[in-house]
Amino acid sequence: MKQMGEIRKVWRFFTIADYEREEQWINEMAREGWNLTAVGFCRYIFRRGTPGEYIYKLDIVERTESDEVRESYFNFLTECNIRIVGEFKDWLFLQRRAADGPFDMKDDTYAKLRTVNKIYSFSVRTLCRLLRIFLMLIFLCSLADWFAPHSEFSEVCSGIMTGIGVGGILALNLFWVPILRKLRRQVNKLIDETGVII
Amino acid sequence: MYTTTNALTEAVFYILLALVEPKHGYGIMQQTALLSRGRLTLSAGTLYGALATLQEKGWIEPLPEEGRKKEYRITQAGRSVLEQELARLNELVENGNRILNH
Repeated sequence: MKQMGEIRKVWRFFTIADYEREEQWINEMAREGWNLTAVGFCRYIFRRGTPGEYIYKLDIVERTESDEVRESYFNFLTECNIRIVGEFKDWLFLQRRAADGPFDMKDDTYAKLRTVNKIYSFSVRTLCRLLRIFLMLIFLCSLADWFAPHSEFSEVCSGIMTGIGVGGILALNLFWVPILRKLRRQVNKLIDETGVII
Repeated sequence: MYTTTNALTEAVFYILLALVEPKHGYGIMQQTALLSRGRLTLSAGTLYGALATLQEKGWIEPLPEEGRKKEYRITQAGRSVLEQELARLNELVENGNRILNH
């Protein structure tokens, strides 16, 4: 039996738009003999193994998909000798033996386009979810002034509202808008690369 | 009968061609790599998406399941799409040869 081996936990943050860099980093770790075994929020767990034995790929499957669809996709991956080593939100971290060949062709523009497109809609979905929560909070806070006007409670609520408003605008401008722009640029570039002249 | 004016992608063309004989997903990948002499490698994501779309269009159908591996085969509609595409490709090749090679 092989021993459990050395384990390394790494904290690292990648934005959604940087999934390619994240994938490259995980693959570099594997080339150095650190194989990804589990994933959490900004957290990666690697286990010492043979350098270059595995290759990795990030994939997206909507959480909202039915269990049946997810399971049938997971079975399909297994059939292709692909293992899911980590799941985080809609993301899948796929592992395959390097000897079984690469996940894609090197310059498969269509496959890349499909991935970036999935990531783009995932980002938009996530943004909509967050906006819904923010708006709901603002709505709830605004009720306070109706039911208890000029009270201490309503002042606290209006303070929260201001906080949410400022925080929301900052997050939107500094985080979400740049990410969506970057992804959109990637999509446009890949559409150009397909060489389809419309 | 389905008529198509759009060209098939290479992936779709090879998937349909591979399914003239029933095959499961991994078999399609191997067949495609073999026919194209390794030039075309289908990724699992591409193949999975394509199989779902082709089923929706009615160009392929799943066989009754035996065990865990799902097998597919081309339908009559799929076959006629493939034949139309072949005729279109032949036209391109003939014209290209005639004009460029006199």
